[in-house]
Amino acid sequence: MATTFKTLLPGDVIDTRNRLHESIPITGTIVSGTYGPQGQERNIKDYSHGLFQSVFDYPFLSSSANHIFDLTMGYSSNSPISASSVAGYKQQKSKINIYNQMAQVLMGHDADGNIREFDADGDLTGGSKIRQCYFLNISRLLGKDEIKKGSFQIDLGVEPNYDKPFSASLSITDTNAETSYKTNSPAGEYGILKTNTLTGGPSTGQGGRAVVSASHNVGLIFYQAGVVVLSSSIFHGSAQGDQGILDEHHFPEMDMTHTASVAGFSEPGPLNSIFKLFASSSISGACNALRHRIGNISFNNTTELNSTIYFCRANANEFNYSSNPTYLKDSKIRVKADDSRAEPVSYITTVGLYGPNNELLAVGKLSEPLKKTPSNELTVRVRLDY
Amino acid sequence: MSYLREFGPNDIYVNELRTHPQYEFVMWNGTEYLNNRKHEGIDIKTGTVNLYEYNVNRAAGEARIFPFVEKAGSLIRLNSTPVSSFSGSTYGSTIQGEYPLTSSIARQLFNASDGLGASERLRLHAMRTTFDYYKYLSPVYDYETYYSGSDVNLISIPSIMFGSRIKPGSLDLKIFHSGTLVGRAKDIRRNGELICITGSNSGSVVGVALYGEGFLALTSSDTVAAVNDTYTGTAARVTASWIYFGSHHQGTNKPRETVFSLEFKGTHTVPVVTMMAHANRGELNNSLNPTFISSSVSGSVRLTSNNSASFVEDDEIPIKNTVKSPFTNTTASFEKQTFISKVGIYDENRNLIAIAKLAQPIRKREEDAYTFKLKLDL
Repeated sequence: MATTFKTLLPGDVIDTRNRLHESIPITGTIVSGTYGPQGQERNIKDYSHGLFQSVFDYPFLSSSANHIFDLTMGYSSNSPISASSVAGYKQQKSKINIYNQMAQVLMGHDADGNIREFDADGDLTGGSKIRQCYFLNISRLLGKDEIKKGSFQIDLGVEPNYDKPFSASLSITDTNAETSYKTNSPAGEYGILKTNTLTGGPSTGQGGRAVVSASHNVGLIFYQAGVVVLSSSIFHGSAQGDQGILDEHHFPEMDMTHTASVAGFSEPGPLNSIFKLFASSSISGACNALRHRIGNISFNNTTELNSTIYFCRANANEFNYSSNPTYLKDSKIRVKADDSRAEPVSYITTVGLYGPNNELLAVGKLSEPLKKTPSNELTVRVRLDY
Repeated sequence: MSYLREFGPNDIYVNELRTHPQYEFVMWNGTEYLNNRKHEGIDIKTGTVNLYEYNVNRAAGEARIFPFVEKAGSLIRLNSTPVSSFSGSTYGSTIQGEYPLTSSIARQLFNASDGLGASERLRLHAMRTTFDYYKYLSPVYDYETYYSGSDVNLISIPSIMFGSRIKPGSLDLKIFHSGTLVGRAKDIRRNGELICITGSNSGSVVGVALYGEGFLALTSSDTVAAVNDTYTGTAARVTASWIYFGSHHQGTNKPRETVFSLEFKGTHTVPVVTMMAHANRGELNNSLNPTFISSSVSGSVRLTSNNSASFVEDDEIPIKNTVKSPFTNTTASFEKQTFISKVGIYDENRNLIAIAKLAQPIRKREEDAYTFKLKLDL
C-alpha cells in the first residue's frame, strides 16, 4: 500500500539559527564631499526641528538613495558646558534632552530612577562617564538585525587644521568585542570603542609621551540598537579635562568649524574648540563638523536566519508507490513494464509538510526526482527558513 | 474609569489590501528603461529592479557592500554562489557574494526552424503543462497547436515586479516606429489573450499571457504595419511583427528606428488587521497627565500621605477647567473633558506593543462617544 502521510517524530525536527553577514564600507567622501560643498550637500537632510540630520548615500530626492545613518549630538546635564552661565550657547535644552533620551534608552536608569550616563568602560559601578558625545544611529537597512561584534571601525581626521583633517587619521575600533562585550544595557549588547592606530600624525608627543593614549576608551557601540556613541574626547587634549586623549603639544585647539572664533562664547574653565562647538553651535552645525572629519566607516551587519529542518525519512518499504494518475496504465503499474515480479518503483519529486489537521502548509521540491524502490532508503532534508 | 479596554469579538478583523503597482518598460537600442528612471547612480543598471539598491553610486575600485556567510553544517549558502563552488569550499571558510543583484525582463525567440525537441526549445517545452492548464480560459493556450512547433517570442517578467500575478486587463504592448505608434496589443478580454487593436490585424490574437507565472508568449508573425527595421539583428531589414517585440538588443545591427513599450500592473496582497477602539459616553474623561489638574493647587498635588507604609493620593485636587466660554471675561461652567491624542495597543500581558497617534487631538466630553479605526499592515 502506498504511504502518503508519515508523522514526523521529535527527533526528525530540528530548529537552527544561522547568521548571514554583509560587509558595509562607507567611504568618507559619501558622508561629506561627494554631493556638494558643506552645508549644501544633496545627500544630507536637515530637518526644520534641527534635532538631527540624516545621511544618505545619494542625493536624498532620488529614489535610489539609501538612508545610511542619522547623526546628532548632546551632552549631559553634568557636563561643564550645560551650565546656564555658558554664554552663547545654542539649543542647550535640546542637546541635554537628546543626551538624556539616548542615555535612558541605551543605558537605563539607576536604582534611584535617575538616568545613567554613558560609561566609558561599561562598568556602571564607577569610572569615567561620557558626557559630551555624538550619536550615529545606523539605519536598519544597513545594520539589519545587529552589527557584528568586533567588526566596527571609524577613521577620524584629528589634524587641527580644518583644511586637511586627515593628515592625522585616528582609527577607532571595537577590537575584541566578540568576547568582551557588555550586557548591562536595556538595549542589548554593547562594546567599547577604543582608539587603535594614528596614521600620519607625530609618533611621539611632548616629552616623549604617546600622542594618543593607546586603547583609550572613546565611545560605545550598541550592536542590536545600531547606535554608536562617540565621545568628544577624541578631539581634545588630555590636559583639557574630561578624558581628552590627544597630546596638546601636537594637537592644539582643534579647528572644528573653520571659523576664527565663536561669537559670544566665553570659556569658563579649560574648554577648547570641541567644547565651543558643542555649546555654541547648532546641532546640525556640530554634525557637519564631525562629518568633515569622518574618513571611513566600516562594519559587518548580521541577519539571523531562523530555520527548522525536517528530516523526512522514506524507509525501504515506504513511498514505493504513487497515487499519481499517470502511475497506472491499463490497470498496470507503468514502471514495472508488464513484469509482475518486478519491484515497485516511484520517483519522489515533492515533499509536502502538513499541519496537525492535515492542511498542506508547505511544499519542498527536489531539483530532480529521486528514484525510490524497496531496496533503498532515503532521508530528504527539508529546511524551512523564516 | 477604565483606561484599558479589551477588544470585543467584532472589534478586530483581518482583511487583505490588494495593490497594483504599475510598471512601464521602454526598450530601445539595447537598453530598457523602467518607469522612466535613468541616471540614478552609476551602479543602478537602467531598466532593472535592484535588491536593497546597495552600492548605488560607487566608482570602480571603491569598496563595495557585499554579503558573506561562513560555511557551516547547516549548509546555508548564498543563492548567487554556485553549488559546485560551495561544495568544494572547506567548512569554516567565508563565502562571498556581491551586490547589486538586479532583475529585469528578458526576451527569448524560439524559431520554428529549431524543430521539435531541439535543445533551444527545451525551456519552452518545460512550460507545456502550464500552457495547457489555461486552456479553460481560451483555446489559444493549447500548446500542441500554437506553440510546439511555431515561432514563439517569449517575454519573461520577474515576479519581484508583479508580485503574485499580473493584473488581468493591464497589459499594454506598443510598437513605435520613427516615433509613430504602429502596433498595439492589449489583453482587453482579461483572459490572457493578447489582442492586436491597431492596423489591419485589429481584433486578432497575437499571443497569450501567463498572468501568474509572468510570461508573455507572442506568436503572430503577421505584419503589424508596413515598416521595417533590423529586427533580426543583422543588416537585413524585415517587416515589423509581434515576434520581434522586444528585439531592441538583438545582434550587432540593433533596430534603432523602433521603440518597444510594455506596460502592466502587478498584484501585491497586504494583510491588514483593523481594530476598532471605542471611547464610549462617560468613559475616558479623566487624565493622568500632570497638566490635567489645576495649576493653582499649591504644595504636593499628588500626595496627602507619603511615609514608609502608605502612598495615598489626594482625591480632592481640583481639575483644571478647560471648557472655553463663548463670552469674554467669563468662565464657563466646569465640565469634564479630555483631549485624546494617542491610542495604545496592549497585548494580553499588558505590554504596550503599538501606538496610534492622531493628527490632532480630539476633544472628548462626557456626552461624546468615539470609535477610532486603527489599521496595521502585517
